[in-house]
Amino acid sequence: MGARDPSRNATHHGVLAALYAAAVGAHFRDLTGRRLEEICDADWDGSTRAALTLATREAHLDRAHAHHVSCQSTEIDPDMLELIGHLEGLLYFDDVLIDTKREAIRRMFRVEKFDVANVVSRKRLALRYLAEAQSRRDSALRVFVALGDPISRNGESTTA
Amino acid sequence: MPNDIDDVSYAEFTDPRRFLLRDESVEDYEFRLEQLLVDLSPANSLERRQVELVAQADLDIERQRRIISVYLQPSKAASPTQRALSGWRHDTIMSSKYGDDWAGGAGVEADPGPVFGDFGATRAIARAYGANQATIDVHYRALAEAERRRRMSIGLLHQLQDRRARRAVPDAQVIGG
Repeated sequence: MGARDPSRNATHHGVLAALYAAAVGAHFRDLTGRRLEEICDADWDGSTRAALTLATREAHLDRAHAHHVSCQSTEIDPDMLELIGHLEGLLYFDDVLIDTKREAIRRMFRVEKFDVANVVSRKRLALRYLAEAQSRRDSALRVFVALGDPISRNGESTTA
Repeated sequence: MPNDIDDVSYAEFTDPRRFLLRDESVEDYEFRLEQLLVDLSPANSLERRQVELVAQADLDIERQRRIISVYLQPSKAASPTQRALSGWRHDTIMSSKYGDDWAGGAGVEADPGPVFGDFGATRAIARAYGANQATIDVHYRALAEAERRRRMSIGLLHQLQDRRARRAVPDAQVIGG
């Protein structure tokens, strides 16, 4: 087995990971009134497939939304604060060289800058995931409505 | 048929605890959702879901505004490192009168807390904006995105309701030749 590509981590652990069947099933039941387990092979027509696609994207949207909210904290990472605290402690020692103190201050700023960049990146990424999930879900909704709810126009069906 | 579900008794909403922060309450969210359900009158599970998304977007709009205001507090003008350095300089100057390399710094400013109508705070707020610009910009984007989601959700809800109303209208019949 080769090493896993780190760029695919989000698809294994994060907001893009495989969904729980229960979450998809709950949305599917809301949409169709039927349990996913009840659908047999013969039932998989266009509208049922569209319902499953919509249910999947609803579940993705819920997850992306929850992830987006979890990234909204305004508090500073406690680990980062602790690290800055350790470096700050160096400043108060009289027997520490002035160059060492300068280096400590430089590193405090670097740690902080890294943390801010990390927080901004996470928030931006969560927002992008949410926007994508919403867009995909809205597309699936349009397809589902068009397939499952034809409005007759004197015999012309919208379910082409 | 998927859209014939007018019995919404089994249609459940997403558990609000999944997307609420510590400073938000389930009761407030549910009250908001109830109000929207009354105002927008959804008739089936699809429409109810749209109303739920409107409520979530509403909540997110308020949340983003609140977060932006937190980052613009004067106390956010200084980062933890800047505060630590100010404290160290202040301590050095006051206790030993030593450390000319770092002389001239001010002491640690106390957090004034939320004060409203203080026009003199504009400068400190501008400094806070400068210090947190990258983060604030992301939240302004999130605010714009939440407003867009709200508009889209209401638009889709109206489309669904319009479609439902048109479905009730019988097809026209051609009379004569």
